[in-house]
Amino acid sequence: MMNDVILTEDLTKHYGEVHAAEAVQLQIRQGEIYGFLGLNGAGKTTTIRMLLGMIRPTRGMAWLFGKKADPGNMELWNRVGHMVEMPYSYPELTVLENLEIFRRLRFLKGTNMLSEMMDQLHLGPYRNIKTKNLSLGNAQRLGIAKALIHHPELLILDEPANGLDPSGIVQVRELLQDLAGTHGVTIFISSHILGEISRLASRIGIIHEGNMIRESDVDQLKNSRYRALHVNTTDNRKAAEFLSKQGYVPAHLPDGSLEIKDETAISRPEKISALLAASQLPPIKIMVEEEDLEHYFFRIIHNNNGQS
Amino acid sequence: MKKLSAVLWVEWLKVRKSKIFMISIYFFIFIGVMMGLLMYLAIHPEIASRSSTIRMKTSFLGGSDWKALYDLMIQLILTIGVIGSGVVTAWVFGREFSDRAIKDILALPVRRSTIVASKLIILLAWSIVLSVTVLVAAMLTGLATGIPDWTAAEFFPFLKLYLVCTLLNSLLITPVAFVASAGRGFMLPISFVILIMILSQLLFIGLPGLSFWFPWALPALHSRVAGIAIPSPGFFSYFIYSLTVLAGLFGTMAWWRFADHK
Repeated sequence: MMNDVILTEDLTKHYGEVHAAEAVQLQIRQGEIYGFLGLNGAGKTTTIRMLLGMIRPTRGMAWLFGKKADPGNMELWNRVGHMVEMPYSYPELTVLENLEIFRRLRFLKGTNMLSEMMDQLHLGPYRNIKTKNLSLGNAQRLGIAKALIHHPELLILDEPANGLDPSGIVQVRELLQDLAGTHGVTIFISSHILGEISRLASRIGIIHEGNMIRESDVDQLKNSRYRALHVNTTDNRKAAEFLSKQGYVPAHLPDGSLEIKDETAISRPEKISALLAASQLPPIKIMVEEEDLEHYFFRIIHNNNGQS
Repeated sequence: MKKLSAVLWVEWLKVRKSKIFMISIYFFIFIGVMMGLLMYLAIHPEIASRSSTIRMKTSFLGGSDWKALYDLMIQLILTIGVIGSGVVTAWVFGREFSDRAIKDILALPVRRSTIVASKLIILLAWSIVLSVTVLVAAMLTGLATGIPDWTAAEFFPFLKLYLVCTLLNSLLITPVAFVASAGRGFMLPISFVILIMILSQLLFIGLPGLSFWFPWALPALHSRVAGIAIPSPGFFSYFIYSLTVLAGLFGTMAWWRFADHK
Protein backbone atom coordinates (compact mmCIF):
# COMPACT_ATOMS: atom_id res chain seq x y z
CA MET A 1 0.00 0.00 0.00
CA MET A 2 2.73 2.48 0.99
CA ASN A 3 4.63 2.02 -2.27
CA ASP A 4 1.51 1.98 -4.40
CA VAL A 5 1.28 5.14 -6.42
CA ILE A 6 -2.09 4.15 -7.84
CA LEU A 7 -4.47 1.88 -6.00
CA THR A 8 -8.10 1.29 -6.84
CA GLU A 9 -10.64 -0.88 -5.19
CA ASP A 10 -13.83 -1.95 -6.91
CA LEU A 11 -13.67 1.22 -9.01
CA THR A 12 -16.98 1.32 -10.85
CA LYS A 13 -18.88 3.82 -12.96
CA HIS A 14 -22.36 3.29 -14.32
CA TYR A 15 -24.23 5.73 -16.53
CA GLY A 16 -27.75 4.38 -16.22
CA GLU A 17 -27.68 1.05 -17.99
CA VAL A 18 -24.19 1.60 -19.36
CA HIS A 19 -21.44 0.04 -17.26
CA ALA A 20 -18.53 2.23 -18.31
CA ALA A 21 -16.15 0.71 -15.76
CA GLU A 22 -16.84 -2.29 -13.56
CA ALA A 23 -14.88 -3.11 -10.39
CA VAL A 24 -11.53 -2.02 -11.81
CA GLN A 25 -8.67 -3.09 -9.55
CA LEU A 26 -5.32 -1.41 -10.10
CA GLN A 27 -2.17 -1.51 -8.04
CA ILE A 28 0.75 0.35 -9.54
CA ARG A 29 4.08 0.74 -7.83
CA GLN A 30 6.50 3.62 -7.92
CA GLY A 31 8.63 3.82 -11.08
CA GLU A 32 6.44 1.39 -12.96
CA ILE A 33 5.19 2.04 -16.49
CA TYR A 34 1.73 0.57 -16.61
CA GLY A 35 0.02 0.11 -19.95
CA PHE A 36 -3.75 0.31 -19.82
CA LEU A 37 -5.01 -1.34 -22.92
CA GLY A 38 -8.46 -1.46 -24.44
CA LEU A 39 -10.46 -0.73 -27.55
CA ASN A 40 -12.27 2.60 -27.97
CA GLY A 41 -15.11 2.74 -25.46
CA ALA A 42 -13.61 -0.02 -23.30
CA GLY A 43 -13.58 2.19 -20.20
CA LYS A 44 -10.00 3.52 -20.31
CA THR A 45 -10.88 7.21 -20.26
CA THR A 46 -13.64 6.73 -17.68
CA THR A 47 -11.13 5.02 -15.38
CA ILE A 48 -8.55 7.74 -15.98
CA ARG A 49 -11.09 10.46 -15.24
CA MET A 50 -11.99 8.71 -11.99
CA LEU A 51 -8.28 8.55 -11.08
CA LEU A 52 -8.09 12.30 -11.69
CA GLY A 53 -11.20 13.11 -9.67
CA MET A 54 -13.11 14.33 -12.71
CA ILE A 55 -15.82 11.70 -12.38
CA ARG A 56 -17.28 10.42 -9.14
CA PRO A 57 -17.28 6.63 -9.00
CA THR A 58 -20.63 4.91 -8.65
CA ARG A 59 -18.89 2.47 -6.34
CA GLY A 60 -15.38 1.87 -5.06
CA MET A 61 -12.50 4.24 -4.64
CA ALA A 62 -9.17 5.34 -6.06
CA TRP A 63 -6.07 6.42 -4.16
CA LEU A 64 -3.02 8.19 -5.51
CA PHE A 65 0.05 8.16 -3.26
CA GLY A 66 -2.20 6.72 -0.55
CA LYS A 67 -4.56 9.71 -0.69
CA LYS A 68 -8.09 9.66 -1.99
CA ALA A 69 -8.31 10.89 -5.57
CA ASP A 70 -10.54 13.82 -4.76
CA PRO A 71 -10.71 17.23 -6.45
CA GLY A 72 -10.40 18.91 -3.06
CA ASN A 73 -7.05 17.22 -2.37
CA MET A 74 -5.00 20.16 -3.68
CA GLU A 75 -1.55 18.91 -2.72
CA LEU A 76 -2.13 15.67 -4.58
CA TRP A 77 -2.44 17.39 -7.94
CA ASN A 78 1.00 18.96 -7.53
CA ARG A 79 2.39 15.44 -7.83
CA VAL A 80 0.33 14.38 -10.83
CA GLY A 81 0.60 15.34 -14.50
CA HIS A 82 -2.13 14.32 -16.86
CA MET A 83 -3.37 14.34 -20.42
CA VAL A 84 -6.89 13.11 -20.99
CA GLU A 85 -8.16 12.18 -24.44
CA MET A 86 -7.38 14.48 -27.34
CA PRO A 87 -5.00 17.33 -26.51
CA TYR A 88 -7.15 20.44 -26.76
CA SER A 89 -5.71 23.83 -25.87
CA TYR A 90 -7.00 27.39 -26.01
CA PRO A 91 -6.99 27.84 -29.79
CA GLU A 92 -6.46 31.60 -29.96
CA LEU A 93 -3.43 31.42 -27.66
CA THR A 94 0.08 30.49 -28.73
CA VAL A 95 2.00 27.41 -27.62
CA LEU A 96 3.98 29.55 -25.18
CA GLU A 97 0.85 31.22 -23.77
CA ASN A 98 -0.85 27.87 -23.30
CA LEU A 99 2.16 26.60 -21.37
CA GLU A 100 2.33 29.85 -19.40
CA ILE A 101 -1.27 29.25 -18.28
CA PHE A 102 -0.25 25.96 -16.71
CA ARG A 103 2.92 27.40 -15.22
CA ARG A 104 0.75 29.97 -13.44
CA LEU A 105 -2.02 27.56 -12.46
CA ARG A 106 0.62 25.30 -10.93
CA PHE A 107 2.31 28.27 -9.23
CA LEU A 108 5.73 27.46 -10.66
CA LYS A 109 8.49 30.00 -10.19
CA GLY A 110 10.72 31.13 -13.04
CA THR A 111 10.04 30.72 -16.73
CA ASN A 112 13.00 28.54 -17.72
CA MET A 113 10.94 25.41 -17.64
CA LEU A 114 8.83 26.71 -20.51
CA SER A 115 11.75 26.78 -22.96
CA GLU A 116 13.08 23.56 -21.47
CA MET A 117 9.77 21.82 -22.03
CA MET A 118 9.39 23.17 -25.57
CA ASP A 119 12.91 22.04 -26.46
CA GLN A 120 12.38 18.63 -24.94
CA LEU A 121 9.24 18.10 -26.99
CA HIS A 122 10.57 19.79 -30.15
CA LEU A 123 8.03 22.59 -29.89
CA GLY A 124 10.58 25.42 -30.00
CA PRO A 125 9.85 26.49 -33.59
CA TYR A 126 6.13 26.69 -32.81
CA ARG A 127 6.34 28.71 -29.59
CA ASN A 128 4.57 31.75 -31.07
CA ILE A 129 2.12 29.82 -33.23
CA LYS A 130 -1.53 29.86 -32.21
CA THR A 131 -2.50 26.35 -31.18
CA LYS A 132 -5.47 26.33 -33.58
CA ASN A 133 -2.84 26.20 -36.35
CA LEU A 134 -0.88 23.28 -34.89
CA SER A 135 -0.83 19.84 -36.47
CA LEU A 136 -2.36 17.02 -34.44
CA GLY A 137 1.11 15.70 -33.65
CA ASN A 138 2.33 19.04 -32.30
CA ALA A 139 -0.91 19.53 -30.38
CA GLN A 140 -0.19 16.15 -28.81
CA ARG A 141 3.34 17.27 -27.89
CA LEU A 142 1.89 20.40 -26.30
CA GLY A 143 -0.53 18.21 -24.32
CA ILE A 144 2.40 16.15 -23.05
CA ALA A 145 4.38 19.32 -22.26
CA LYS A 146 1.46 20.62 -20.16
CA ALA A 147 1.43 17.33 -18.28
CA LEU A 148 5.18 17.41 -17.63
CA ILE A 149 5.75 21.09 -16.88
CA HIS A 150 5.87 20.65 -13.08
CA HIS A 151 8.00 17.47 -13.11
CA PRO A 152 5.28 15.25 -11.67
CA GLU A 153 5.92 12.02 -9.78
CA LEU A 154 2.97 10.38 -11.50
CA LEU A 155 2.08 10.83 -15.13
CA ILE A 156 -1.33 9.76 -16.38
CA LEU A 157 -1.49 9.83 -20.16
CA ASP A 158 -4.48 8.89 -22.26
CA GLU A 159 -3.34 7.60 -25.66
CA PRO A 160 -0.33 9.93 -26.01
CA ALA A 161 0.75 8.31 -29.30
CA ASN A 162 -2.39 9.56 -31.08
CA GLY A 163 -1.54 11.71 -34.05
CA LEU A 164 2.22 11.39 -33.62
CA ASP A 165 4.28 10.33 -36.61
CA PRO A 166 6.66 7.35 -36.19
CA SER A 167 9.60 9.52 -35.16
CA GLY A 168 7.37 11.38 -32.70
CA ILE A 169 6.26 8.08 -31.21
CA VAL A 170 9.89 7.06 -30.71
CA GLN A 171 10.78 10.46 -29.16
CA VAL A 172 7.89 10.30 -26.73
CA ARG A 173 8.63 6.68 -25.89
CA GLU A 174 12.28 7.50 -25.13
CA LEU A 175 11.24 10.50 -23.08
CA LEU A 176 8.84 8.42 -20.99
CA GLN A 177 11.37 5.62 -20.57
CA ASP A 178 13.90 8.17 -19.35
CA LEU A 179 11.38 9.69 -16.93
CA ALA A 180 10.58 6.30 -15.44
CA GLY A 181 14.08 4.84 -15.60
CA THR A 182 16.18 7.85 -14.55
CA HIS A 183 13.76 9.92 -12.51
CA GLY A 184 11.55 7.23 -11.00
CA VAL A 185 8.37 8.74 -12.42
CA THR A 186 5.41 6.36 -12.34
CA ILE A 187 3.60 6.32 -15.66
CA PHE A 188 0.06 5.17 -16.32
CA ILE A 189 -0.50 5.16 -20.04
CA SER A 190 -3.55 4.07 -21.98
CA SER A 191 -3.55 2.81 -25.52
CA HIS A 192 -5.48 0.65 -27.94
CA ILE A 193 -2.32 -0.62 -29.63
CA LEU A 194 -0.71 -3.56 -27.82
CA GLY A 195 2.36 -3.56 -30.08
CA GLU A 196 3.19 0.02 -29.12
CA ILE A 197 2.42 -0.25 -25.45
CA SER A 198 4.39 -3.48 -25.03
CA ARG A 199 7.57 -1.64 -26.10
CA LEU A 200 7.14 0.83 -23.29
CA ALA A 201 5.25 -0.70 -20.39
CA SER A 202 6.52 -3.18 -17.85
CA ARG A 203 3.03 -4.34 -16.95
CA ILE A 204 -0.16 -4.31 -18.92
CA GLY A 205 -3.81 -4.41 -17.93
CA ILE A 206 -6.46 -5.09 -20.52
CA ILE A 207 -9.91 -3.57 -20.10
CA HIS A 208 -12.85 -4.60 -22.21
CA GLU A 209 -16.45 -3.42 -21.93
CA GLY A 210 -15.62 -1.87 -18.57
CA ASN A 211 -14.06 -5.02 -17.09
CA MET A 212 -10.41 -5.77 -16.46
CA ILE A 213 -9.97 -9.04 -18.31
CA ARG A 214 -6.24 -9.60 -17.94
CA GLU A 215 -3.27 -8.16 -16.17
CA SER A 216 0.29 -9.38 -16.46
CA ASP A 217 3.93 -8.49 -16.99
CA VAL A 218 4.80 -7.73 -20.58
CA ASP A 219 7.16 -10.74 -20.85
CA GLN A 220 4.52 -13.03 -19.47
CA LEU A 221 2.01 -11.57 -21.90
CA LYS A 222 4.34 -12.09 -24.83
CA ASN A 223 4.86 -15.69 -23.77
CA SER A 224 1.12 -16.26 -23.57
CA ARG A 225 0.79 -15.67 -27.29
CA TYR A 226 0.10 -18.56 -29.62
CA ARG A 227 3.36 -20.14 -30.75
CA ALA A 228 3.71 -23.41 -32.67
CA LEU A 229 5.94 -25.21 -35.11
CA HIS A 230 4.23 -25.83 -38.45
CA VAL A 231 5.64 -28.74 -40.45
CA ASN A 232 4.78 -30.03 -43.90
CA THR A 233 6.38 -33.26 -45.17
CA THR A 234 5.90 -35.64 -48.11
CA ASP A 235 3.67 -37.80 -45.88
CA ASN A 236 2.19 -35.93 -42.92
CA ARG A 237 0.29 -38.96 -41.57
CA LYS A 238 3.49 -40.99 -41.24
CA ALA A 239 5.37 -37.97 -39.91
CA ALA A 240 2.71 -37.52 -37.17
CA GLU A 241 3.06 -41.17 -36.12
CA PHE A 242 6.84 -40.86 -36.10
CA LEU A 243 6.88 -37.64 -34.06
CA SER A 244 4.39 -39.10 -31.55
CA LYS A 245 6.79 -42.00 -31.00
CA GLN A 246 9.51 -39.42 -30.36
CA GLY A 247 7.43 -37.91 -27.55
CA TYR A 248 5.98 -34.89 -29.36
CA VAL A 249 2.27 -34.11 -29.65
CA PRO A 250 1.59 -33.22 -33.28
CA ALA A 251 -1.86 -32.17 -34.47
CA HIS A 252 -3.25 -31.88 -37.97
CA LEU A 253 -4.10 -28.39 -39.19
CA PRO A 254 -7.04 -27.90 -41.61
CA ASP A 255 -4.60 -27.63 -44.56
CA GLY A 256 -3.11 -31.04 -43.64
CA SER A 257 0.17 -29.75 -42.23
CA LEU A 258 1.28 -30.57 -38.71
CA GLU A 259 1.22 -28.28 -35.69
CA ILE A 260 3.54 -28.95 -32.73
CA LYS A 261 3.11 -26.74 -29.67
CA ASP A 262 5.83 -28.40 -27.54
CA GLU A 263 8.27 -25.74 -26.36
CA THR A 264 11.23 -28.07 -27.09
CA ALA A 265 10.13 -28.29 -30.74
CA ILE A 266 9.51 -24.54 -31.07
CA SER A 267 12.89 -23.67 -29.60
CA ARG A 268 14.79 -26.32 -31.64
CA PRO A 269 13.07 -26.65 -35.05
CA GLU A 270 16.34 -27.86 -36.63
CA LYS A 271 16.18 -30.95 -34.39
CA ILE A 272 12.72 -31.85 -35.73
CA SER A 273 13.95 -31.23 -39.25
CA ALA A 274 16.93 -33.60 -38.74
CA LEU A 275 14.75 -36.29 -37.14
CA LEU A 276 12.26 -36.22 -40.02
CA ALA A 277 15.00 -36.26 -42.67
CA ALA A 278 16.72 -39.22 -41.02
CA SER A 279 13.49 -41.24 -41.15
CA GLN A 280 12.91 -40.56 -44.88
CA LEU A 281 10.25 -37.91 -44.18
CA PRO A 282 12.11 -34.77 -45.16
CA PRO A 283 10.20 -31.56 -44.36
CA ILE A 284 9.02 -29.50 -47.34
CA LYS A 285 8.23 -26.60 -45.04
CA ILE A 286 9.10 -26.03 -41.40
CA MET A 287 8.52 -22.74 -39.57
CA VAL A 288 7.75 -21.27 -36.20
CA GLU A 289 4.38 -19.48 -36.26
CA GLU A 290 4.15 -16.68 -33.71
CA GLU A 291 0.98 -14.74 -33.12
CA ASP A 292 1.48 -11.01 -33.37
CA LEU A 293 0.50 -8.90 -30.40
CA GLU A 294 -2.50 -7.28 -32.02
CA HIS A 295 -3.94 -10.64 -32.98
CA TYR A 296 -3.33 -11.87 -29.48
CA PHE A 297 -5.11 -8.81 -28.07
CA PHE A 298 -8.16 -9.40 -30.27
CA ARG A 299 -8.17 -13.10 -29.36
CA ILE A 300 -8.25 -12.28 -25.65
CA ILE A 301 -11.11 -9.87 -26.22
CA HIS A 302 -12.93 -12.34 -28.45
CA ASN A 303 -12.55 -15.12 -25.88
CA ASN A 304 -13.88 -12.79 -23.25
CA ASN A 305 -16.91 -11.99 -25.39
CA GLY A 306 -17.50 -15.72 -25.76
CA GLN A 307 -17.42 -16.21 -22.01
CA SER A 308 -19.72 -13.29 -21.18
CA MET B 1 -5.02 35.37 -2.57
CA LYS B 2 -1.88 34.38 -4.46
CA LYS B 3 -3.87 31.60 -6.11
CA LEU B 4 -6.76 33.91 -6.99
CA SER B 5 -4.42 36.45 -8.59
CA ALA B 6 -2.73 33.70 -10.65
CA VAL B 7 -6.09 32.44 -11.91
CA LEU B 8 -7.28 35.99 -12.55
CA TRP B 9 -4.18 36.55 -14.69
CA VAL B 10 -4.96 33.40 -16.66
CA GLU B 11 -8.60 34.32 -17.17
CA TRP B 12 -7.67 37.85 -18.21
CA LEU B 13 -5.18 36.44 -20.74
CA LYS B 14 -7.88 34.23 -22.25
CA VAL B 15 -10.30 37.17 -22.48
CA ARG B 16 -7.93 39.78 -23.88
CA LYS B 17 -6.61 37.41 -26.53
CA SER B 18 -10.09 36.51 -27.71
CA LYS B 19 -11.81 38.15 -30.66
CA ILE B 20 -15.06 38.49 -28.77
CA PHE B 21 -13.50 40.97 -26.31
CA MET B 22 -12.72 43.63 -28.89
CA ILE B 23 -15.90 42.83 -30.86
CA SER B 24 -17.96 43.48 -27.72
CA ILE B 25 -16.18 46.81 -27.12
CA TYR B 26 -16.65 47.93 -30.75
CA PHE B 27 -20.28 46.84 -30.68
CA PHE B 28 -20.99 48.85 -27.53
CA ILE B 29 -19.20 51.89 -28.96
CA PHE B 30 -21.39 51.56 -32.07
CA ILE B 31 -24.56 51.38 -29.96
CA GLY B 32 -23.44 54.41 -27.92
CA VAL B 33 -22.75 56.44 -31.05
CA MET B 34 -26.16 55.44 -32.42
CA MET B 35 -27.80 56.73 -29.23
CA GLY B 36 -25.96 60.03 -29.56
CA LEU B 37 -27.03 60.31 -33.18
CA LEU B 38 -30.61 59.56 -32.21
CA MET B 39 -30.41 62.61 -29.94
CA TYR B 40 -29.09 64.61 -32.87
CA LEU B 41 -32.22 63.62 -34.79
CA ALA B 42 -34.35 64.67 -31.85
CA ILE B 43 -32.65 68.07 -31.88
CA HIS B 44 -33.15 68.34 -35.65
CA PRO B 45 -36.63 66.90 -36.28
CA GLU B 46 -36.55 68.15 -39.86
CA ILE B 47 -34.09 65.33 -40.71
CA ALA B 48 -36.22 62.74 -38.98
CA SER B 49 -39.34 63.88 -40.79
CA ARG B 50 -38.04 62.30 -44.00
CA SER B 51 -38.26 58.82 -42.51
CA SER B 52 -41.28 57.60 -40.56
CA THR B 53 -39.20 54.90 -38.86
CA ILE B 54 -36.68 57.37 -37.51
CA ARG B 55 -39.47 59.79 -36.61
CA MET B 56 -41.14 57.06 -34.58
CA LYS B 57 -37.87 56.22 -32.85
CA THR B 58 -37.12 59.80 -31.88
CA SER B 59 -40.72 60.43 -30.79
CA PHE B 60 -40.37 58.37 -27.60
CA LEU B 61 -37.25 60.18 -26.46
CA GLY B 62 -39.31 62.66 -24.51
CA GLY B 63 -37.10 65.59 -25.35
CA SER B 64 -33.92 66.68 -27.04
CA ASP B 65 -31.76 67.49 -24.02
CA TRP B 66 -29.29 65.66 -21.81
CA LYS B 67 -32.10 64.47 -19.56
CA ALA B 68 -33.63 62.66 -22.55
CA LEU B 69 -30.28 61.02 -23.34
CA TYR B 70 -29.86 59.94 -19.73
CA ASP B 71 -33.32 58.34 -19.70
CA LEU B 72 -32.50 56.64 -22.97
CA MET B 73 -29.22 55.32 -21.60
CA ILE B 74 -30.87 53.89 -18.50
CA GLN B 75 -33.40 52.07 -20.68
CA LEU B 76 -30.63 50.92 -22.94
CA ILE B 77 -28.42 49.51 -20.23
CA LEU B 78 -31.36 47.66 -18.71
CA THR B 79 -31.83 45.72 -21.92
CA ILE B 80 -28.59 45.59 -23.87
CA GLY B 81 -26.60 45.37 -20.64
CA VAL B 82 -28.32 42.09 -19.79
CA ILE B 83 -27.73 40.75 -23.29
CA GLY B 84 -24.10 41.92 -23.39
CA SER B 85 -23.07 40.53 -20.02
CA GLY B 86 -25.11 37.38 -20.68
CA VAL B 87 -23.43 36.68 -24.00
CA VAL B 88 -19.89 37.23 -22.69
CA THR B 89 -20.68 35.01 -19.69
CA ALA B 90 -21.97 32.33 -22.04
CA TRP B 91 -18.68 32.59 -23.90
CA VAL B 92 -16.31 32.62 -20.91
CA PHE B 93 -17.90 29.55 -19.34
CA GLY B 94 -19.19 27.84 -22.48
CA ARG B 95 -15.85 27.97 -24.32
CA GLU B 96 -14.19 25.75 -21.72
CA PHE B 97 -16.57 23.04 -22.84
CA SER B 98 -16.78 23.75 -26.56
CA ASP B 99 -12.96 24.06 -26.77
CA ARG B 100 -12.75 20.97 -24.56
CA ALA B 101 -10.18 22.73 -22.44
CA ILE B 102 -11.96 22.14 -19.14
CA LYS B 103 -10.47 18.68 -18.59
CA ASP B 104 -7.02 20.25 -18.28
CA ILE B 105 -7.99 22.65 -15.51
CA LEU B 106 -9.85 20.25 -13.21
CA ALA B 107 -6.95 18.31 -11.66
CA LEU B 108 -4.71 21.21 -10.66
CA PRO B 109 -3.52 22.51 -7.29
CA VAL B 110 -6.12 25.27 -7.51
CA ARG B 111 -9.68 24.97 -6.31
CA ARG B 112 -12.30 24.78 -9.01
CA SER B 113 -14.31 27.37 -7.06
CA THR B 114 -11.33 29.75 -7.44
CA ILE B 115 -11.49 29.28 -11.20
CA VAL B 116 -15.25 29.99 -11.18
CA ALA B 117 -14.76 33.04 -8.94
CA SER B 118 -11.99 34.38 -11.20
CA LYS B 119 -14.14 34.00 -14.27
CA LEU B 120 -16.99 35.84 -12.58
CA ILE B 121 -14.73 38.67 -11.39
CA ILE B 122 -13.36 39.12 -14.91
CA LEU B 123 -16.91 39.01 -16.30
CA LEU B 124 -18.13 41.56 -13.79
CA ALA B 125 -15.30 43.88 -14.82
CA TRP B 126 -16.00 43.19 -18.50
CA SER B 127 -19.71 43.98 -18.06
CA ILE B 128 -18.90 47.24 -16.27
CA VAL B 129 -16.40 48.17 -19.00
CA LEU B 130 -19.09 47.58 -21.65
CA SER B 131 -21.61 49.74 -19.76
CA VAL B 132 -19.11 52.55 -19.33
CA THR B 133 -18.06 52.20 -22.98
CA VAL B 134 -21.58 52.62 -24.32
CA LEU B 135 -22.15 55.59 -22.01
CA VAL B 136 -18.92 57.34 -22.94
CA ALA B 137 -19.59 56.75 -26.66
CA ALA B 138 -23.12 58.12 -26.33
CA MET B 139 -22.04 61.17 -24.34
CA LEU B 140 -19.15 62.03 -26.62
CA THR B 141 -21.46 61.74 -29.60
CA GLY B 142 -23.98 63.85 -27.68
CA LEU B 143 -21.33 66.50 -27.05
CA ALA B 144 -20.30 66.45 -30.69
CA THR B 145 -23.87 66.80 -31.86
CA GLY B 146 -24.45 69.74 -29.53
CA ILE B 147 -27.07 68.56 -27.04
CA PRO B 148 -27.77 71.71 -25.02
CA ASP B 149 -27.71 72.52 -21.32
CA TRP B 150 -25.36 70.02 -19.68
CA THR B 151 -25.34 70.40 -15.92
CA ALA B 152 -23.39 68.51 -13.29
CA ALA B 153 -26.45 68.58 -11.02
CA GLU B 154 -28.33 66.49 -13.56
CA PHE B 155 -25.41 64.32 -14.66
CA PHE B 156 -24.07 62.95 -11.40
CA PRO B 157 -27.37 61.58 -10.00
CA PHE B 158 -27.89 59.96 -13.41
CA LEU B 159 -24.37 58.51 -13.38
CA LYS B 160 -24.94 57.04 -9.94
CA LEU B 161 -28.19 55.42 -11.01
CA TYR B 162 -26.61 54.20 -14.25
CA LEU B 163 -23.75 52.53 -12.39
CA VAL B 164 -26.09 50.97 -9.84
CA CYS B 165 -28.22 49.56 -12.68
CA THR B 166 -25.05 48.30 -14.35
CA LEU B 167 -23.98 46.55 -11.18
CA LEU B 168 -27.43 45.09 -10.55
CA ASN B 169 -27.50 43.79 -14.11
CA SER B 170 -23.94 42.49 -14.05
CA LEU B 171 -24.39 40.48 -10.88
CA LEU B 172 -27.12 38.52 -12.63
CA ILE B 173 -24.47 36.74 -14.71
CA THR B 174 -24.17 34.02 -12.08
CA PRO B 175 -27.27 32.06 -13.18
CA VAL B 176 -26.04 32.40 -16.80
CA ALA B 177 -22.69 30.94 -15.70
CA PHE B 178 -24.53 28.02 -14.15
CA VAL B 179 -26.58 27.38 -17.30
CA ALA B 180 -23.41 27.57 -19.45
CA SER B 181 -21.63 25.08 -17.19
CA ALA B 182 -24.51 22.64 -16.84
CA GLY B 183 -25.32 23.00 -20.55
CA ARG B 184 -21.62 22.55 -21.45
CA GLY B 185 -21.49 25.18 -24.18
CA PHE B 186 -22.81 28.49 -25.54
CA MET B 187 -26.20 27.69 -26.98
CA LEU B 188 -28.15 27.00 -23.83
CA PRO B 189 -27.00 30.09 -21.89
CA ILE B 190 -27.60 32.39 -24.87
CA SER B 191 -31.10 30.95 -25.27
CA PHE B 192 -31.54 31.43 -21.53
CA VAL B 193 -30.58 35.12 -21.77
CA ILE B 194 -33.00 35.65 -24.67
CA LEU B 195 -35.75 33.89 -22.75
CA ILE B 196 -35.09 36.05 -19.69
CA MET B 197 -35.32 39.20 -21.83
CA ILE B 198 -38.62 38.11 -23.36
CA LEU B 199 -40.01 37.12 -19.96
CA SER B 200 -38.99 40.46 -18.44
CA GLN B 201 -40.75 42.38 -21.20
CA LEU B 202 -43.87 40.20 -21.03
CA LEU B 203 -44.08 40.59 -17.27
CA PHE B 204 -43.76 44.36 -17.47
CA ILE B 205 -46.50 44.60 -20.05
CA GLY B 206 -48.81 41.77 -19.07
CA LEU B 207 -48.34 41.07 -15.38
CA PRO B 208 -46.56 44.05 -13.84
CA GLY B 209 -47.41 42.80 -10.34
CA LEU B 210 -45.27 39.72 -10.90
CA SER B 211 -42.27 41.80 -11.93
CA PHE B 212 -41.56 42.39 -8.27
CA TRP B 213 -40.89 38.66 -7.88
CA PHE B 214 -38.76 38.38 -10.97
CA PRO B 215 -35.05 39.01 -10.23
CA TRP B 216 -34.22 40.21 -13.74
CA ALA B 217 -36.86 42.94 -13.39
CA LEU B 218 -35.22 44.38 -10.28
CA PRO B 219 -32.70 46.67 -12.04
CA ALA B 220 -35.54 48.24 -14.03
CA LEU B 221 -37.76 48.54 -10.97
CA HIS B 222 -34.90 50.03 -9.00
CA SER B 223 -34.25 52.59 -11.73
CA ARG B 224 -37.94 53.66 -11.72
CA VAL B 225 -37.64 53.73 -15.49
CA ALA B 226 -41.33 52.87 -15.84
CA GLY B 227 -42.29 56.07 -14.05
CA ILE B 228 -43.67 56.90 -10.64
CA ALA B 229 -46.94 55.05 -11.29
CA ILE B 230 -45.15 51.77 -10.52
CA PRO B 231 -44.09 51.51 -6.87
CA SER B 232 -40.50 50.98 -5.74
CA PRO B 233 -39.32 47.41 -5.24
CA GLY B 234 -39.60 46.27 -1.64
CA PHE B 235 -37.50 44.03 0.56
CA PHE B 236 -38.75 40.84 -1.11
CA SER B 237 -37.71 41.99 -4.56
CA TYR B 238 -34.17 42.63 -3.33
CA PHE B 239 -34.25 39.39 -1.36
CA ILE B 240 -35.27 37.29 -4.38
CA TYR B 241 -32.71 39.10 -6.49
CA SER B 242 -29.91 38.42 -3.96
CA LEU B 243 -31.01 34.81 -3.64
CA THR B 244 -30.83 34.38 -7.42
CA VAL B 245 -27.33 35.86 -7.62
CA LEU B 246 -26.09 33.70 -4.75
CA ALA B 247 -27.82 30.58 -6.07
CA GLY B 248 -26.13 31.16 -9.43
CA LEU B 249 -22.75 31.67 -7.77
CA PHE B 250 -22.83 28.68 -5.44
CA GLY B 251 -24.70 26.54 -7.97
CA THR B 252 -21.92 27.11 -10.53
CA MET B 253 -19.20 26.42 -7.97
CA ALA B 254 -20.97 23.27 -6.80
CA TRP B 255 -21.47 22.10 -10.36
CA TRP B 256 -17.78 22.51 -11.19
CA ARG B 257 -16.85 20.75 -7.96
CA PHE B 258 -19.31 17.86 -7.88
CA ALA B 259 -20.66 17.17 -11.38
CA ASP B 260 -19.20 14.39 -13.53
CA HIS B 261 -16.85 15.93 -16.09
CA LYS B 262 -17.14 13.33 -18.81
